[in-house]
Amino acid sequence: MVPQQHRTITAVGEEGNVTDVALPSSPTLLPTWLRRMGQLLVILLPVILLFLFVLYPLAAIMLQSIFPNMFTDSPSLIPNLNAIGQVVKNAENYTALGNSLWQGAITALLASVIGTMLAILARRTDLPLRKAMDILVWIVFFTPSFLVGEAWSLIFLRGGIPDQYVHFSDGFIAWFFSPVGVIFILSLKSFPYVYLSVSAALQWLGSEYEDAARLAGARTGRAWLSINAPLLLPAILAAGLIAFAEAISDFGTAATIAQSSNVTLVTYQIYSAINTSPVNFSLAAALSLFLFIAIVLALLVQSAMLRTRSFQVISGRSRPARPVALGVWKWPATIVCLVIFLFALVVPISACIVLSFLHAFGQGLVASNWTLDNYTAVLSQGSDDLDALFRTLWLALGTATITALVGLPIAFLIRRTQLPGRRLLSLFTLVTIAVPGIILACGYIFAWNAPYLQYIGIGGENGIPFYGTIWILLAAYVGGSLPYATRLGIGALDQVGQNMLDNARIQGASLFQMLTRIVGPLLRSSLISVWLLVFTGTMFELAASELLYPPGQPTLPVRIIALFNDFKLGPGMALSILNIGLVLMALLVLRSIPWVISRLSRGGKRKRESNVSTDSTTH
Amino acid sequence: MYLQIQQLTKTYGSRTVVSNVDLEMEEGEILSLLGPSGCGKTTILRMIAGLVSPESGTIRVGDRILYDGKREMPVEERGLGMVFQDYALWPHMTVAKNVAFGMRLRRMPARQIEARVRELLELVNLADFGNRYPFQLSGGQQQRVAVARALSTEPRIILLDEPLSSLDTALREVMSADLVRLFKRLKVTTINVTHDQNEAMNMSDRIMVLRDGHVQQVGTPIELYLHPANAFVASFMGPANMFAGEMVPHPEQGVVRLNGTLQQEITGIIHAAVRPRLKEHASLLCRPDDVIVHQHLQQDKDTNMLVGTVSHSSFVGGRWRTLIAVGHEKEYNVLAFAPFQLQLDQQVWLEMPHERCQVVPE
Repeated sequence: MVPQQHRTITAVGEEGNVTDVALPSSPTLLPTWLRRMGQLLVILLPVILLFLFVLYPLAAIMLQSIFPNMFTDSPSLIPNLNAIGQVVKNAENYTALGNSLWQGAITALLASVIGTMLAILARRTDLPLRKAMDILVWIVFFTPSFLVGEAWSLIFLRGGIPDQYVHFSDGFIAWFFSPVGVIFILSLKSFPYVYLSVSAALQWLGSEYEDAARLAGARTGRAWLSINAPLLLPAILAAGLIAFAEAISDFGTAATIAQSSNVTLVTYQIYSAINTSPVNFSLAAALSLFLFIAIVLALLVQSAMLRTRSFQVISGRSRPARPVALGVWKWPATIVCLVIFLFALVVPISACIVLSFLHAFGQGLVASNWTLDNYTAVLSQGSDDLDALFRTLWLALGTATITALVGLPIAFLIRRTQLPGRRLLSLFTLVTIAVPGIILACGYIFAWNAPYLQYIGIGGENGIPFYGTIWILLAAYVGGSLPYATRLGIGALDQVGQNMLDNARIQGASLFQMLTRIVGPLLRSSLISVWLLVFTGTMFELAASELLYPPGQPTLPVRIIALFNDFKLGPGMALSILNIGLVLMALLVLRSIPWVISRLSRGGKRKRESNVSTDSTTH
Repeated sequence: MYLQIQQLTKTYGSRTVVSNVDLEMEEGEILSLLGPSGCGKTTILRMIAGLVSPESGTIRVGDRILYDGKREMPVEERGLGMVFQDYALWPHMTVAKNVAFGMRLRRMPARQIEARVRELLELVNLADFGNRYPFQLSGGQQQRVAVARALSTEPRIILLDEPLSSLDTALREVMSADLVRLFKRLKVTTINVTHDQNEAMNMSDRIMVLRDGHVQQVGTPIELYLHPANAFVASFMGPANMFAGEMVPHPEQGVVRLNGTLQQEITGIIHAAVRPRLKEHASLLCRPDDVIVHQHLQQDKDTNMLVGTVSHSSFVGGRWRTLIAVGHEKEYNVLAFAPFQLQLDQQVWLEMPHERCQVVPE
């Protein structure tokens, strides 16, 4: 079915007379070797990136924890289980790991309850707020946990602004600055994962099963209990496991409120093993390994959960469900929802805004204390803060663009080609999707600072510098977001019919043409979503940045945390608000681009149509 | 009357999907709601079930009021059975549990439930399938489980929401016959929604034809086929040649002058039921089986005779299905069955006897 032209060119190309070939009139046909190279590049480059910047660093962690001298100046492959022993024997280490696990588990439970409740209220009832729920949940999802954690620590701080007016009891403060506060923040940050999965599950579930139960004589409550609840359970459990994985890998909470509460979480323990002397690389590796195993186990159970029989047979065809009238429960339910968003969003963000306009919060909310100085200081020409802001901005732009462009070809390889190894690739992206930045960054330290790299001209005295430059940060950001960009790409690709691609193939499109002319345009809105997700994530990325930023060149979140730690809250908050502002701007601009394009193209089409009609009238 | 629906109306925003529908059914009767997609047939069914709230009107079953504009009886209290389009078998329950669900809700003794489940599964020929899960069954088997489940609570009315549409043609024939036999034996009143004219004719005592939310005609399959109330019903009930034109005054017969270039007058009968509703514009209906194809001009016959050219001819077993273009600009494409093969573009004469043609309102 390949068009004749292609075959002749291939034949000539194989003879090696490429330069002599008189190309057919079609300008899209490049010399074969160039096309081959192009195809190879499209396939290989993303895969190479995935291997170098995700697989290799993760492998380095495992190797480091077992072969502690592997990445030293005189590498040796003598195995040594001391590091793993340190985790098991040293109370400080296993407490940190234990803290993360049990607090993550309670967080997952609370997040499941909150997320499921909100999803059901938004999708299946006449709750007054339900139309705004999606957007609110997305904002919660995007808000960085270090900011929420820091804001709540400052709100309940002894001598903080609310304390100056209310005066919290010692008991309350002791109660909040404990695992309670940590779980509180983690739950508020994790419920969006559950909300989004359960919403999707409710969509697939439809209302026919419920309708059938009601016709058999079941009241609404009974129909939910006997039919909807068991059918939704796998989705809820799966979402709960994701919330668990996200909670135990969170660094922003560990670095803020958990520190204020003297609760050490494993992510922070990894960070201190590397960042406080004596530096203990093997301990960091061993802790990372344990954390990684916990996350992978959670994710594997999660994906097994979603494959359960009862969940799979749910058909996509269904009519919109009839909303349940809440009746007397309408107002209590509304109040509960309002309180959740008040805690997750309104209170912490308002606190940040207020603090960004205050000289010193010890002086309270008096007229003389209000100021714009924090903003002018941060934005003044040549300030470190402004540098950090621009540094992070271009890093985020670069990361988002690279990830969006590279993730799609990998997704395509996994889903739509017969390439050997694609299943392995798929499993790999699935397993690494939730690798926390702290683990990946830890792996980068071993993998990309290894002395043996000098022999291939990377690092060392004469080699190209990579470790300790801004580029390794870019690589870590890309490596961290590539797996989930790929999974999102796979999800989007599944909605493109194989027939469309086969047809393009039959008409003679090359792989590259297929990606740029067919898959790309069809997935335009998914690509934009991936771009936004990665951009936002990078703008607020703290963990990898803390470990990998080049000396003297902090990123924005690193700078913000440094300001918080120096108790320069005003400038820190001003910088945070600017960060949020930049992200909001990107969201607004990119969300309006598809609209603008559709407006423009519709205008163009109308013009063309009117041409046609005038043509036909002249005939 | 057992089931009584009066002036049932449903609107979504400014769009009226069901408009002033009246329906009366005897106990044990099987009626099909027939029409193209979007005609409101499923909405009517779902309003009877209680899954959609009507705008206005009344629904009564026996002496119970299901809906009267003020009160709306909840779905679960109506005591109806329903078979859904995708069957909606609960995927996490076995076949037996699916069938037993409604009886458990009614707190029937366990032994009795067990016996009744066995009885129902035997009734639908699935006696050995009680322990299977729905995904282990074929489409036809799933459909029969759905029927058993709908019958389990002994409803006096069964609602069928296109349950045959996802089965293949051969299976559909068998299943529709089985269902009719079953429902007739149990004397259960049945309302069947379908867009398939054949299925409606196969299964129903009476058919209600709907279009854009309006009732076009209610009657037995024979009535609808022989005396369609308008051109829509005529063309929906089996293959039909419709000739649109204008009425020419005539004391007894119906004479229609064809539109377009032809301007020929053709004659048919007018049934008493449609006479009062005939207006200036009307259509003349002649079923393909009633068109006689001639290869030569027939002289001196008191009959309708149209001349045309063959545009398509295919062998369909025993005869040739032939399309004939009629009119200078081929305005009409007439379907007829010829006992002989015809050449493409060959000129033919079509005889349509007066008594086989009838005039119907637009």
